[in-house]
Amino acid sequence: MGNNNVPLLQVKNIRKNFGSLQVLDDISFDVNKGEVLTIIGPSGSGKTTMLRCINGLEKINGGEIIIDGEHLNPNSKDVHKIRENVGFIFQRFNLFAHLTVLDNLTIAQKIVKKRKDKEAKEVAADLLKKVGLSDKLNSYPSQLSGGQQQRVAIARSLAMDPKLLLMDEITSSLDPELVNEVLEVVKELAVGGMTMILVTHEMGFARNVASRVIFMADSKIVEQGKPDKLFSNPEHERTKAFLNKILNH
Amino acid sequence: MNTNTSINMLDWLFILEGLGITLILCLCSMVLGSILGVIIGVMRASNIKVVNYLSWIYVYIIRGTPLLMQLFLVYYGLPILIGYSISAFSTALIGLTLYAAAYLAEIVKAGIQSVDVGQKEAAKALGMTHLQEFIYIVFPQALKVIIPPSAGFFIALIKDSSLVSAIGFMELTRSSKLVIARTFQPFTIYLIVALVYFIVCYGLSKLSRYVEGGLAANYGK
Repeated sequence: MGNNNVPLLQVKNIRKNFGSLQVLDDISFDVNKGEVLTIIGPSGSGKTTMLRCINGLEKINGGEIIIDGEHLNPNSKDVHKIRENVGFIFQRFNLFAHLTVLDNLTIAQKIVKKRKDKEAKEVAADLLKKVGLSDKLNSYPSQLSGGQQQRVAIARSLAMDPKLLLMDEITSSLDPELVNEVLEVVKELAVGGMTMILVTHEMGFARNVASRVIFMADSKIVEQGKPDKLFSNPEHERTKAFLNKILNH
Repeated sequence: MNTNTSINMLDWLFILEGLGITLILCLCSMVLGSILGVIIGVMRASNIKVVNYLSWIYVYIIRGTPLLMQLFLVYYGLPILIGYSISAFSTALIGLTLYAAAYLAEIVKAGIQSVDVGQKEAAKALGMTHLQEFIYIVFPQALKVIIPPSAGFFIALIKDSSLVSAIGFMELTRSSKLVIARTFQPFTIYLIVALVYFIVCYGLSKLSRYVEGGLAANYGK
């Protein structure tokens, strides 16, 4: 495990359908350690579903997902062990409503990672400092702005020392003026070498922060490549049409 | 033998004793009913079909029959089933517990289902097991939804507990009946007993408001 030659994440020929509707059709890609992959594409193309499959929030109907050498089986009793290593940031933050910011950051450290209370609190305090929210330790999620909540959610995931962070349109439910404070945090993570997969509609951000971009449409990967190449010189008509619509409005 | 039909001190003490027994009976059946109710409520909210179906049958049988019939069935049926007779208190306690569990189960189920699916997904994404997710995330949040209707149900249960007088158990209603049999003053006695039930129930409803207020504060709202 942790072999440098083996990709951190291997997605092989995965398929997913909701009833008769196929949402993922033979998706394959790898992510290496330290890579920042952004996934763009029209709504309904399967981006979010694919991301949710990677930590077993959705069950795949075919193919395989291998994380750091371990096969992900969402039906297995041990799926939670793999999830420990894969952080997920939600569009709607999903902070635990009944817990303070501090407790949101410490609860999983204590019950999943079995850290002592003192250590968990120290980790939490460090991370809250990193996302600029040291003064909100004792606040409840309902007392924070969307941008602050999302930064807490990121810190909560980081507290588990994930090997891979999945981010699902994490700025989509934020007021426009709050988007940047969250993207700044993500940028810092990218610089720090965190392996991430971001599903995003922020094209400028996708281009700047990504080491690779995947364009998905109609349940398939249409093309992937370096951001400069994909954004300025896409190969496929479908990609061109999408980018024209998004970038020239 | 006292032939005086005025209500004397002993009568009051007798009624007071009945009140004490009513309160003990209700408290015990609330505690046991809550435990059983949470278990059945979790079963009701379960995705496992068999578990869900079994709990559904239980809840609908209890909710679809009068408490009085259930008490009679426990009183006359249980001794046949287990082969020896049980005390009136045990009968009343079992009857009220089974009854409370069915109603509380539906309240618990609704509470569990009210918790946003995003909360459960966040717990999963942090590596929590199903059980950890339930204990630390889902149930504490469900509690906020569970407590107000449960308090309402407990108040109703105290009033319904007067039915156990029908199986001869000496609680508040039954003891007042005996005092009436001696004093021939049903109106006065029943009026006073009704007032006693009212005071207890009113106090409980005030208490539940207070608890709900505390929970709301807990969420930082």
